[in-house]
Amino acid sequence: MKILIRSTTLDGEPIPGSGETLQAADCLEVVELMRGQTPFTASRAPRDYMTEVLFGIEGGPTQPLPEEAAAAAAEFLTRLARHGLIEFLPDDKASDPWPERFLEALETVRLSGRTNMLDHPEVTRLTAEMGYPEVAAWLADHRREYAAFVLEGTRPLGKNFGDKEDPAPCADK
Amino acid sequence: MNLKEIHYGIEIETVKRTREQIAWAIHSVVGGTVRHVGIPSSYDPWEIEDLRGRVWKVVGDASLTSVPAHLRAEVVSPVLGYDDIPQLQEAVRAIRRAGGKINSQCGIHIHIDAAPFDGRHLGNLAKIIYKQEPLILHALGISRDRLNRYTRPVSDELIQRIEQHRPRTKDQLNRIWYGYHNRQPQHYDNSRYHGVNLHNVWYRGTVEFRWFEATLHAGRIKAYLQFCLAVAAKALNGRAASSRKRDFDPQSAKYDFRVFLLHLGLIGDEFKTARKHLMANMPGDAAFKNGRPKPEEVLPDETTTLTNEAGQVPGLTV
Repeated sequence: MKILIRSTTLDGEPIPGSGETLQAADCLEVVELMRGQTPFTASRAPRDYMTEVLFGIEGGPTQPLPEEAAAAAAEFLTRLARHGLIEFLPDDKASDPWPERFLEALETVRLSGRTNMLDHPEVTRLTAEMGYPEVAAWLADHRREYAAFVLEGTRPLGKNFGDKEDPAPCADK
Repeated sequence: MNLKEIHYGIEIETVKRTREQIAWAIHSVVGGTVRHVGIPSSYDPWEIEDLRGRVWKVVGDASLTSVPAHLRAEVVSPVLGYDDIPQLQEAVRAIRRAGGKINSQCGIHIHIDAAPFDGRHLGNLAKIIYKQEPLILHALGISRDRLNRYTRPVSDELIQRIEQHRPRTKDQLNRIWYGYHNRQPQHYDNSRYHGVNLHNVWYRGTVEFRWFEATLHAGRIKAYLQFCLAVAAKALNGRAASSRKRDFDPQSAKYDFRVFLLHLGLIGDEFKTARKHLMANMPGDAAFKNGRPKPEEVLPDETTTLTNEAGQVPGLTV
């Protein structure tokens, strides 16, 4: 899993679009990476670290975390996200999933002029026929991603379209 | 029962972004995994299983006819608790950042868990709404079209039957709602098109509030939720409720609605924004029933000048 830890203002308010990313296999490992970012927090026990962070954000007394370590880490991250302090990002695999010769294969099919590129089944068949079996296998399983690619270009798939700044905050926080 | 103990769910309709994009926006807040279920193809569902194992859904909505089919999305939350409101608000903000929009066809439906309710509680709920409906409908700014078709008011007939039969169980209320004992309610029953939809009690186990025009304003959504939870809590906690309909008086509307909100328990700083958003449309003055009194003109008083025995003015006038 991959998260973005947002930078904050001096008042502790998250700044949209800012921060650094961390990637790990699961919630526990993400928390370990977070904890290891400074020597001060690295020396804390994971549960103490999470409790202290939440105390700083929510004020005390905070709702206790679940006993089980993985559930506690998931709850910890959920509560950080609730306050807008972290953002869950699509994994790298999901954000750019096409195989290595994907663009080359599609260009070959396109230049052959044998099909409309919106005809997904025919494009799949032709890529296999023209010597790109791994691309054909990917296309067969990713009809939607292929459609997005044809219509919208080489944007990283699965990413949000954050083309505008967050509107000014309202009275409600 | 405290309003914070009641479970709820919410449906929010959006346009301009695909279901996939909306799903990833929600994922950015709740984490977990995103999956394109795709079946049934008419709903084309996407699912986000969050870090707690709860499933958020983004499905197609055929009622949003003004945009292409792939840009129609309806977010269906899992069963949530009061503490989840901040996360829901973050999810709404993420949808807005991702470019999600609303139009006049979009709406918001709020579902309240009907498990704690019996026939008497649901009767209370209908009567509370019936009594205050002119104020509520005005406060929520519901369009005439929506009011006539999808969010019809509580009917006089329903209230008369509730008053007459005083239902104690859900089955007794079922007969009153449908006019017969409906043991197998269907999804598209015509009786569901009410602002307060009790058909859902027997179809899905929730009381559905269908009043709301769509918004991606996190504060307003929080206000709508708190309002529905407070009305539900009032119905659950009251022994009985009055159904004498309150007239809408533009002069006192804001004051009356504020009093109603305070009676519901929406008091104090925690509900300050809820009161602000819910009263924004109301005419009148929040603090004065008959309008804020105008400062009276200061009339020149007759003053008496006191003099002491020596006839001197001591500098004091009364």
